[in-house]
Amino acid sequence: MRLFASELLKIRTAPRTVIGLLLAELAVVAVGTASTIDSATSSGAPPGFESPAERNLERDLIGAVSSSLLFALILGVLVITWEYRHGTITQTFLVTPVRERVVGIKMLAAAVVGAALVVPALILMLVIAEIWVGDKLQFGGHELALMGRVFLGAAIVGALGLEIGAGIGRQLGAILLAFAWAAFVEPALSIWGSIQPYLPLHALFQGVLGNGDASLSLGRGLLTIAVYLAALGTTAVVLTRRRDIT
Amino acid sequence: MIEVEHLTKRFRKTLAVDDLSFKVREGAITGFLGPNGAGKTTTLRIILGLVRPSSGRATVKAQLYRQLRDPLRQVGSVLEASSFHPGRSGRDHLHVVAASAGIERSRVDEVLGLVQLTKDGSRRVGGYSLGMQQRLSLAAALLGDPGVLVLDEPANGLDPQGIHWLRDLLRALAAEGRTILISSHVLPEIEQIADEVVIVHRGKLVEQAPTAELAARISGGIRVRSPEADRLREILEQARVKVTSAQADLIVVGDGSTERIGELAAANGIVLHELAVEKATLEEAFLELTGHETTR
Repeated sequence: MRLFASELLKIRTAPRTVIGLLLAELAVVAVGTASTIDSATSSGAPPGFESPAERNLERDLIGAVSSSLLFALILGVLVITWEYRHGTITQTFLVTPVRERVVGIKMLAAAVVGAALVVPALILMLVIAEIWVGDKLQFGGHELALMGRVFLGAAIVGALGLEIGAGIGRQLGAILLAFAWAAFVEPALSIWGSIQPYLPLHALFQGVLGNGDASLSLGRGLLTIAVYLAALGTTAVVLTRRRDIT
Repeated sequence: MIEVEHLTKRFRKTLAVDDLSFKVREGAITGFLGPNGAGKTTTLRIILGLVRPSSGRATVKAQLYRQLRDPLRQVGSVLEASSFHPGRSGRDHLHVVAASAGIERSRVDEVLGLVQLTKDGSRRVGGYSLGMQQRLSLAAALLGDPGVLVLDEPANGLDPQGIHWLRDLLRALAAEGRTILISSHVLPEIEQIADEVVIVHRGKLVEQAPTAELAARISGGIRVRSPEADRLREILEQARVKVTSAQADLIVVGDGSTERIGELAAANGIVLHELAVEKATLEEAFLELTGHETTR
């Protein structure tokens, strides 16, 4: 518990990076929310009828909030790589020489902070939506469940980011690897339809967040992601244990 | 207390530590000396579990560092002054370390006072001088009130007053019975505070001995001044005492004892103005043992 508290203290006492990430996240969510509302309200449905975009407005607004996952991923990477960058990892390993414990606690911290990043994004989306189209919004149980999935997804990508960061050890390298996977590797692998359901981002977006045609159940999505978390986590622990802190 | 046994560390093609073995005595200050690249920092980092040895082992209290329970309460260390988040204040840095080690927050202000950083504790570390960072490192090392201190160049960046302060602090800590292993390139400082020295060169042990014994062993000879230096030199050479150099009124004798030289001079009625053992400094001993390479 004390290690977890100290991880949160590390973030709280050096807040510049987190504040920068938060501001960037809020900007992206604000633009996404505004764009979603604008396209829904200007879709040209006859008076008295709802356009498809208006019908799905709540779901699409929650989709705009899910852009927080990108920042949760970056924050997850930073939770460990900024320790390598500033050399504070030396002190961390002196206090906790069992390095698998360090990786485990940091994973937990990255998941919690990743999920926490969704809160301000969600509040901002709700404020903008309320001001702009408050009379058209109806958030029910289904939407609340979708919001819950965004929190879950942010926690997962926070932990995944931490594992990538722990494995690579370098801030820029880890972030570039994560983006390269999302932008090039997974889309390329998706050409083979048979393996697509087993790819991590597909499992995350289709299974956990319930996006697209939701062809993957939440359970299947979580199971697939759990396999990736376990495999990446094991690799991160092995590499972290073997790494010389010189 | 600290035991290094047949330690070897290879970084790809570079052999940093080569079958190194030594013991650090409990309750003593041990200086760890060696030229640049001798493997001192690598050895200290292996002791602290930060670098994995290729073979051999290093233990503290007969345990590997990673096996120590609450390691910060047993071993404090100063490794480099740059291991801080520049945006965090000195006090917050110590709060983070204390929180992760389960040390009460009140101890943070105690150690800040001990290293004379109370006034600057709330400033960002990025604005600290090297000397202040070194003091902060020491504060972190002392947080857990450990019985063992491993210090790598702790005087780096300190001004003369700071070095004096550090010397007094280390003496006070040693007087409390702590075991201190300290590497330094300021050899006169080590000479003043270390009970023993371990000298390494190219990763190997060159010497481990009490500081005074080492300096005495590598003695500069016996210095004799006499108005009859030429006659005394002849007498000494006849008595098979090796004279290493001679000037108008000065002779330096490479072997023999002051007693024997004094007796020979008295027996021959030669007046002596000076008869003294020329003690070598630790620096001279170090240079002789390591082949005059520079230290770091």
